Amino acid sequence: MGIPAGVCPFAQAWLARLEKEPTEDIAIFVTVCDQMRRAAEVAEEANRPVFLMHVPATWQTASAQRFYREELERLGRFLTRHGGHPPTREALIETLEEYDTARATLRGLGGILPARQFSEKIAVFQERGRPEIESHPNHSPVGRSKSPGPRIGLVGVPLMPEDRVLFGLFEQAGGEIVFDGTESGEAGLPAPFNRRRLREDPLGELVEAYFGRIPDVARRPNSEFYVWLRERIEAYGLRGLVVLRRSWCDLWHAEVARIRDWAPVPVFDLDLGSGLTVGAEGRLTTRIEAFVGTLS
Amino acid sequence: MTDTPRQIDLNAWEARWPEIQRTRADWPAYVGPLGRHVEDGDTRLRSLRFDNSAAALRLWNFLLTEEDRLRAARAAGSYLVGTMKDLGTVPVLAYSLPNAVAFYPDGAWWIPCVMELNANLLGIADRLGVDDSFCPVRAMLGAFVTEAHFPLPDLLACSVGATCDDFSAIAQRLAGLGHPILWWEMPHRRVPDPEEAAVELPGGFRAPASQVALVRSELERVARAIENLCGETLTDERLAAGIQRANAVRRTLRELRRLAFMAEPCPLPALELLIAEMLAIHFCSDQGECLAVLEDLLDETRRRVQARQGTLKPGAPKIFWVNPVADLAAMNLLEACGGRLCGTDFLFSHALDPIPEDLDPFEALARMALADPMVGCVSDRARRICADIRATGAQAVVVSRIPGASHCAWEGRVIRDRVQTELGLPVVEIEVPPLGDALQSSHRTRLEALVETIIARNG
Repeated sequence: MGIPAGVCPFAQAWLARLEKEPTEDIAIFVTVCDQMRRAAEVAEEANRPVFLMHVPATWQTASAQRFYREELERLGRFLTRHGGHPPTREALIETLEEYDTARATLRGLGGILPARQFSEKIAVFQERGRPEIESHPNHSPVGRSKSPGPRIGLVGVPLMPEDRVLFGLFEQAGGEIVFDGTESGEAGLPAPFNRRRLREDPLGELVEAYFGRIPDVARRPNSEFYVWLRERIEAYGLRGLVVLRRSWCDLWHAEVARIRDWAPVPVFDLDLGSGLTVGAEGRLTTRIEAFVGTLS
Repeated sequence: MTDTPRQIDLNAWEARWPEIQRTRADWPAYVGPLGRHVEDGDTRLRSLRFDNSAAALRLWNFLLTEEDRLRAARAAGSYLVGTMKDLGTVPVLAYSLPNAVAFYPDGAWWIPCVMELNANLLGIADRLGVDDSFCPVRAMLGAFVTEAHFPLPDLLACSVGATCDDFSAIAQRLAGLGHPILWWEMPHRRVPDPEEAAVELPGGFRAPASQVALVRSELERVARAIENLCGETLTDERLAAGIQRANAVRRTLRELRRLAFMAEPCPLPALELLIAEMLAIHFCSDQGECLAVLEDLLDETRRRVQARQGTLKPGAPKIFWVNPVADLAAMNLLEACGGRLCGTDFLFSHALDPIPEDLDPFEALARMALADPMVGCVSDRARRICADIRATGAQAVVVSRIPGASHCAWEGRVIRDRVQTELGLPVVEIEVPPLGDALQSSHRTRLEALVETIIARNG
């Protein structure tokens, strides 16, 4: 599989990782960004079973919601064709409830763990695809950082493991990241299920909790992202906001100026480029210190 | 005019204008000397070479006076529909009503070229946080801010979903500046699953019936918005008639392309063919006149074919061009290097194919929209390119990258591999910025090498 030059580092990383997986393993892509839509085609070149799910960018119409549901059903048929077994209605409900409970536990950790650990917990949960939440020795408020520095939130592209060094860099600069609202963080968590509706129409509730409630800048219009972000800024008492983006991520890049115009707190545009390197960290430190300095 | 076909510069056109004015007194009022557009700021015209036919002069004037037409249409009581990204679909809806005029604000992407960056639209986009890592269509933001290049539309619609992120992000930035947008969904066109109901699309693609149904319902939603704006009902009869009118333009263009690509010697230069193709997507804001302009150009081309006259030497190497060029001068350069345009995919081949007239009109339009080469896999697009190359007999391919356009990063290799594997033809990739002068030497070298390769292959 040849990865084209000039594509976003996240898509590149995805494809590079996929190359290491057995070709009989299924890869599922979504169309939330065009880079990943096109990456699906590259992944298919390895004769791997690939499913590309169209997640509508529009969300305000019944037809968009219906189409999302149809795509989920199509995914189900695809998985069945590749050896899966369709769940019974009860099994589906049970599984959804299990994940919903796990997410509730996960959310609860948000008030306990330092933001970096909470961010990692979410990432691990999302990546494993299993509902178990590992217990954590710091299940008490004392686990939270007591840093007196300004409270800062992250939004933007999904974090890669090496990006979490940012938490430390901001802390060294005298600030504290208390909120990971990136796509790999809280922004990627669906809304809690309505258990009554879940029993009546499990797939419908799944659609509502994910398609109906996850805010993202890729949606058109993306006004709900701003509603969600305002709530988070207030709830976390943020004094600064960091917008993370990577090379060629047009969706976040174009949004930075708007967020800056809109936000009630100072905004730091942090271009991760092709990924954080040792040299890049050095340069970043100065900029981070300057930003945190403006918040103090 | 009966002059020998050739390409001339702006000064030559200026010298000839009095004579043309005398012989073409019955022409529409918008036709005039090209030099006046330079005075208005379209300074790139000084660097271009134009076809010397009167029909080409009319074509250029039609293109360069669109803003006047839009303002006149509004003054006459028509409503302006700004349609973005779909390249050829929503205008068919709009022009089916008597008092709607559609245009593409996306067209602003050529302003930095035509005005040689003097309008500072890219500078405005920079200030709005949309820098040169984005496609030149970001100039659209500057055009909305200055309101100096087109009147602000009464309704703005934009297709999203399976569209490039550049455009989606720029359009959302526009909405964030206070320009309301009616977003409509375009799903990623996929191969129908086994036993899934599927339909044939124009251009030879197939798509699941469920996707066509979604697009249809979205187009009906756009149609309702246009109806509400205009106070007119878009009946099936009106839309069917609108499709017929659109097809008249497409048929004319199809014949023009056939002759321009295949007749010997080449009867029409690449630059004029590019402009003619662009007219197909929204009829440059006057559908009736658009058809007249194209028919005039087709008549001229037929005359040349009959007389065995052309603008290039017979036997010029035939080159298929992929993607539109941000700098119009690139089309001149191809011919200056000895090549001949022989087939195009300027990202809107769906706007050139006939819309089915034997179907329910909304169904037909939905099928056409879903045939957009940008909403499916690159391999689909590459297959179509290969099919078109077989039909025209092109001998090489130029993939012209659009600076900052993220889709280009994914497409080039797939298209090149397919063309080389399936047809064994040479392919070069070049990147054409809005003003390509600094790169002209490099482009010239690559295009000349391509032409020489073809000549060597021909023995």
